[in-house]
Amino acid sequence: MKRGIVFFLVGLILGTAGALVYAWLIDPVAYYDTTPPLMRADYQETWIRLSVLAYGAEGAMERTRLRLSGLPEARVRAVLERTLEDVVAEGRPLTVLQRIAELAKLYGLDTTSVRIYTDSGEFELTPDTVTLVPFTPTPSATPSPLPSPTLTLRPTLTHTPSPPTPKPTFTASPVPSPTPTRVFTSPYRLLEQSPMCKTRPVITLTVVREVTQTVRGREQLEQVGVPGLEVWLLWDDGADHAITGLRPDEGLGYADFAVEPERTYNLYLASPMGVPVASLHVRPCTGTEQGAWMGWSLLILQQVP
Amino acid sequence: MKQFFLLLLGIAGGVGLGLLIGWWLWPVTYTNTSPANLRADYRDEYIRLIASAYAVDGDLGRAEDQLAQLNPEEPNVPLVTLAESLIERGAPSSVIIPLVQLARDLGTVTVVMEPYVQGGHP
Repeated sequence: MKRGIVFFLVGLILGTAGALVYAWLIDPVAYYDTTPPLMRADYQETWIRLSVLAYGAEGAMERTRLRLSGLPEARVRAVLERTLEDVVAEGRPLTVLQRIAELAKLYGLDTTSVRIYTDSGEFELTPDTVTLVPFTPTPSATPSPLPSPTLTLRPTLTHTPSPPTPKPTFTASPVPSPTPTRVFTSPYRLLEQSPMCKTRPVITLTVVREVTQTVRGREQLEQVGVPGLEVWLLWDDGADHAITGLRPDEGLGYADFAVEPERTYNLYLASPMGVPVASLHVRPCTGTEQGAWMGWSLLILQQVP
Repeated sequence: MKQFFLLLLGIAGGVGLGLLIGWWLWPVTYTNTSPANLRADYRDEYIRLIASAYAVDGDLGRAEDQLAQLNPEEPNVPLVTLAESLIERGAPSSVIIPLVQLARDLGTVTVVMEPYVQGGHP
């Protein structure tokens, strides 16, 4: 009887081994007809990034939702956030930025870039700086086709959650008018953007306006610094601001910021809303200046309407 | 004879046990696959995504690498095949043009694609 059990066990081992050799070596599992959620993590991230960029190009929301369905939401959010920061830093077209920010918002992201490009009208900075009250388009008895939004700055030292803001309402008017549209026409234009390699990176800027001066009977166009202008620098989780002209030895339109390496900054003038004047990434310098970081020097023109 | 029978019984039991483990107790989980293993419709979608993303970021090297994940030897083949197939099926220009533009930049425009080069419509 004992011998019989031994034969049975030997057979069992041989059978199991044979089945495993067949399953693992002779005819191993072939992966085909899989779906994106079954892909390796890095391929999933590529799929998500491509879907996000494609949404930026096409704007097909339902299709994008389908493309992203079944993928881990945390991964989608992380890649979405990264992709949005990348396209902002690369200076992609505004429609692309707005679409991707809109998608990011739908997935519950609430970063500075999302707030800027979704243009929700609600903009809250870090508690120790200032809170910006949402813009409220000013209704008038005879509304103009393009009501200009006004922005009120209200400095505060403590963080107070902003109350729910009523949607802007426009009073009815007997005169038919087109749907109010907010148009961003920045009065500031970036003329020059030069890299500067320093061990402690800085972003410096000079804001100028063009004036016509008559010299010996001839008219000349000259650039003069614009003092007293508020400059905002926004990044992922913070903001800073400065006023031009506080260092007159550098020029009336001059302001600067100390910045951190490997960070992307959006620069705004007058108010931190709408489209940034410049998006700047502080990256390592290469070549002979290794160890230094690439800051930026900007020359910005204030266009007089 | 009885011992031989027991041996066969053991082998049969072993095969059964192996299959029980492989198919029920510890089944294969399809994870960590690559884009090359995607179902045909997802593969097509992947190629479309690569072309659309290329239209935004203009990174040709990256687009080529991503296409190579589908066909490492001839990365352009899946792109050309899909573009031509969509043209034959009369797909909208908005779908075809990004594919043709990527094919053009990779230097693989075919006669069928010609009318769509430069964002044109046939």
